[in-house]
Amino acid sequence: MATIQRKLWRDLRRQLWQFAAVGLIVLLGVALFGASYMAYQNLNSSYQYSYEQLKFMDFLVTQRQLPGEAVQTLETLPGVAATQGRLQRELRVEMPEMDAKRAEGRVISLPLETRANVNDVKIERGDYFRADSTPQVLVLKNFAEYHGLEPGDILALTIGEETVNFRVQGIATSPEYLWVAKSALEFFPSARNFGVFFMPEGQMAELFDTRGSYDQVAIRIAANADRSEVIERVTEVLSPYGLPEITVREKWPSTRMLDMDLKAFSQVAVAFPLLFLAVAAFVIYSLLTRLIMAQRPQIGLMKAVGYSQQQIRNHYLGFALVVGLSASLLGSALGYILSISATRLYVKLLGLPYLNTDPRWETIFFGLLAGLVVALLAGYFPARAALRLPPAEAMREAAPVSSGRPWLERVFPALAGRSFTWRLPFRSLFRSRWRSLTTILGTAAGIALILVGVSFFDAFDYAIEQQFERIQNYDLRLSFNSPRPESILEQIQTIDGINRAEGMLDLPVRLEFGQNSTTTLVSGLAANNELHGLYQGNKRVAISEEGILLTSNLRQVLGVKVGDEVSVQAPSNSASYRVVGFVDQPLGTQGFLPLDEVRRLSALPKALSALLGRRTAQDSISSIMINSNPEASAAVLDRLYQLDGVAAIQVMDRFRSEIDDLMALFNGFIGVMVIFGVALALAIVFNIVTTNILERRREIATMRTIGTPRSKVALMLTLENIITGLLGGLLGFGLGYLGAGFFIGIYNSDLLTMSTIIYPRTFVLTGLGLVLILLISELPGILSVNRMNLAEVTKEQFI
Amino acid sequence: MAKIDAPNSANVIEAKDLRKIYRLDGGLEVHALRGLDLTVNYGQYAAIMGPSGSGKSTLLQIIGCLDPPTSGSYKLADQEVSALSEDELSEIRNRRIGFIFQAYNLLPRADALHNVALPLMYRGLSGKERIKRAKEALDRVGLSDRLDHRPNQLSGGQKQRVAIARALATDPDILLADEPTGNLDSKTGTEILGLFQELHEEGRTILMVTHEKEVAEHCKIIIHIRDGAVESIEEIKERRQAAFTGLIS
Repeated sequence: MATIQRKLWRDLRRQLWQFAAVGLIVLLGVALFGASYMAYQNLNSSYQYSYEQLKFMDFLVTQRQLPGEAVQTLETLPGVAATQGRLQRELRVEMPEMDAKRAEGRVISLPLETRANVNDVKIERGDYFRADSTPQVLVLKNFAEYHGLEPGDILALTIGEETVNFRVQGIATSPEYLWVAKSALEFFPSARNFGVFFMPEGQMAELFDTRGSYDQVAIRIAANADRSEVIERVTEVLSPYGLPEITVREKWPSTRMLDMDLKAFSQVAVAFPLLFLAVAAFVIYSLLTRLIMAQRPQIGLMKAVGYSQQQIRNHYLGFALVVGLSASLLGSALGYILSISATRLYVKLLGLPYLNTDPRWETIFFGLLAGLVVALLAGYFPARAALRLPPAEAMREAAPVSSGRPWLERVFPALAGRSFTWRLPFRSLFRSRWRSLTTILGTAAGIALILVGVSFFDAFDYAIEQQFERIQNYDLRLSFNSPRPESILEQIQTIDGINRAEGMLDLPVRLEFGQNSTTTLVSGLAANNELHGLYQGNKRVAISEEGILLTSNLRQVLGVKVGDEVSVQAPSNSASYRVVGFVDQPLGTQGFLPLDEVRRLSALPKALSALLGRRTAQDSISSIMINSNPEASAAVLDRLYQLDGVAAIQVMDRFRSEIDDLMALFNGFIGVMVIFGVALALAIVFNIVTTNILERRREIATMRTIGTPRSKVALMLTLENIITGLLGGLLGFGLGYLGAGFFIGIYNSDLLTMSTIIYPRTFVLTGLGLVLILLISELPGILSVNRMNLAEVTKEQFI
Repeated sequence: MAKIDAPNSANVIEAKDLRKIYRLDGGLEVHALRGLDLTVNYGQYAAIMGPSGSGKSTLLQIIGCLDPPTSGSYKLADQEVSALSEDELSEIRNRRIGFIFQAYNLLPRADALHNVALPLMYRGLSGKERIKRAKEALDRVGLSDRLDHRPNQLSGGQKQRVAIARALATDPDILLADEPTGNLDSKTGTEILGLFQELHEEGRTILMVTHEKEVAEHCKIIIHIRDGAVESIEEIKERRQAAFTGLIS
């Protein structure tokens, strides 16, 4: 081995822990990237694979009373690969074990003897339909698991006035309900209250008396067909039966939700590891710069004895190469292992039918390359700087920065009067500016990474708190199958245990502004509404007769501002309203209008209203917000379910805890980020603090030799570390807050809008954590200087 | 903390049967000192000489309270120091010993004045008093016009004079110099030796480790060490003359 190579290994061995800490940072960055990005790829391919295996539709046509012949015609259209006509109805499920004793059900037909051509199901337990006359159903997995249903159990479904017992034939997963969303507006239905069931087509046709007609057709298109052209052809064929409602795959609630989730996941999966690698680059740069500053005499000597520029540069790049390569290799392996665990966890939580965890070689390669490139780039500049030193100058000690009386002591004369033990740390701060700067920036980066992670917990907690404690002042929300007269409120108010009940009318609408549009819900609230709080920051605002209030996330979606006119298109009417303000609401998007205005928008033409037998009365409401005594909840629920036309009662406490459950994976992911952040902060601070101490071995040895007690040396070093650490911490708090804003912005969606909130306790705990990290980090350095051979170190010519 | 009393005896160093054993990896033992006896009187100006591996560095470490002996007795200014704790030894070093290193070991970011004032920090003196003493010490070595110069603004000889001033500032019982002219050219080295001579004439006790016979011959006695023990003590009859041209007096 050449001398210069031996020097490389010797130096690496001598500063093993520091290089190991830098390696750990690169390792964490590469591992986090690999784990999160491969988990994202695994999920994406698990979804795609599930869609393929279960023949998920390209689009769904909804049209009542569609004749079977029309569906057959569709199958022959150019570009159509397969069709599946089906029935879909909502009904009531009798659940004897539940306090409310019933849930909402959606039942969808499937062929009895063959498997569906489009939107098939995967039988997870039990069997597909049996060809016998016993009423049978397949139950969607999430409902079955929540209620403990197993194949062979009996389930009572109420169709019209009649309750029929069905045998649970199997437990199934469906590509349409990978995320069980009830509709485009109800993304978070509880498995407690909402279930999806599949029935043999013939049995369902008989039960609902559909006489050979279908409600929907699910369509898959041929491989190279143009979907919009196929949709046009389908619409044309179906035009004699009325205007069909078309839902394309990406607008399907489950797909939309999962796509949104995946998109946020993919962005966070790239951005957060990038932040890690940037920090790693900074730490490698700073460590190598300091190593080279400390090795000036050796560099001079190497030059003097004839090593070429290239040999010297390669020697210092060698540090970055060894650290970058070993850390990237280990990081990639760790990332791969973690990605499989993360995917398995996610798949288990969501109950996906298929799991795909193929190794993603391109991602592994990219992670490896990124780790290596970051390390080499960070090492290149210090290595190049080493070349610029002329040998004679290099062999002299570097001149320290000039400084007179530190300005800090001029600004704070009290400090000048303090003992040397107190003054020296402050002076060192200004006298070794590069050292102080790297310490402050390194600590700031570590703290910022921890804060970015933890801020998600705070922001989510705050969002949920706002939603359930401030905005929703009700604990029950009752919705009807169809609008009911407002007079029902009087009946409800008489129930014991109910403090207040207010009606509202919800209407699904399309909001349009210029080129932008979105599907959302407009809620009509009474002027004296108390139970649904509308807030702008801390200010409560009232419903306005002057126009529409929008949730603040619609500001970006629609690109509107206060004063703009937005078009509101309801199924039967449309109107324009001036935007009078934006309100903060973490969950979902929504518009708010006066109750009467929504009644007017929802009014059906009189003839149609008579035909369908639906209310268009001027006093209708679709749901009721109820504030009740918690002690009376079971009795209140019982009474409410006895009311006519009650579709569902949402118990807010349960809803809240179910949202918390849904967030378990998110919390797990963030938890891992925080753990990585803490490890990173520890690695950075450890590295910098150790270097700070070891760089001054000779200085410390001299001080100790001339009589400075060990305790004083430790105190001075600790003070200096705490001062720079706290300055770094303050900067880190600022950077962390900005970073949190950026990452929360990425994560926000139509479903969940979080504000950048970091609780004071988080700052305090992070600050205390930082001090702890600082103290832990300086321990090895201080022990090392305590153990050093004073006589030997004081004899060293150069550090 | 060790109680530091004024010495009664005429001996500043009394070492008896000093042994130092280094235990290396693999169970190997190196006997650096093998029952060394040494006495140095107040006012003595002595050099320690010996070939590499003779134990002179180990001896200096023990005399300088930087390392305890494995066994034996070592009294510095009447005080037994062989079994003191590290913090007690720090105090002894601060009060009793003035160190002068080959590589000067000045704090690079502090000026000459503050380098000299550094060991006075632990004396409970006021800031003013510390500065006054540091100025006197620098004046003593002829550097009163270089108070605010930092080490990189001083020549090698000037740096060593600052180091000597730092050693003098605490008014120690003994000055321990480890190859004090090793980094200097011969002219500057001679100047530094001239300064030592003057300090000796003022009554200071100086113990110097050197491997150069010409340097050692400036002292009054040369203690020859070999194989971890004192081989001989040579009295210098005709001392070399050294001039300290930097002294302003």
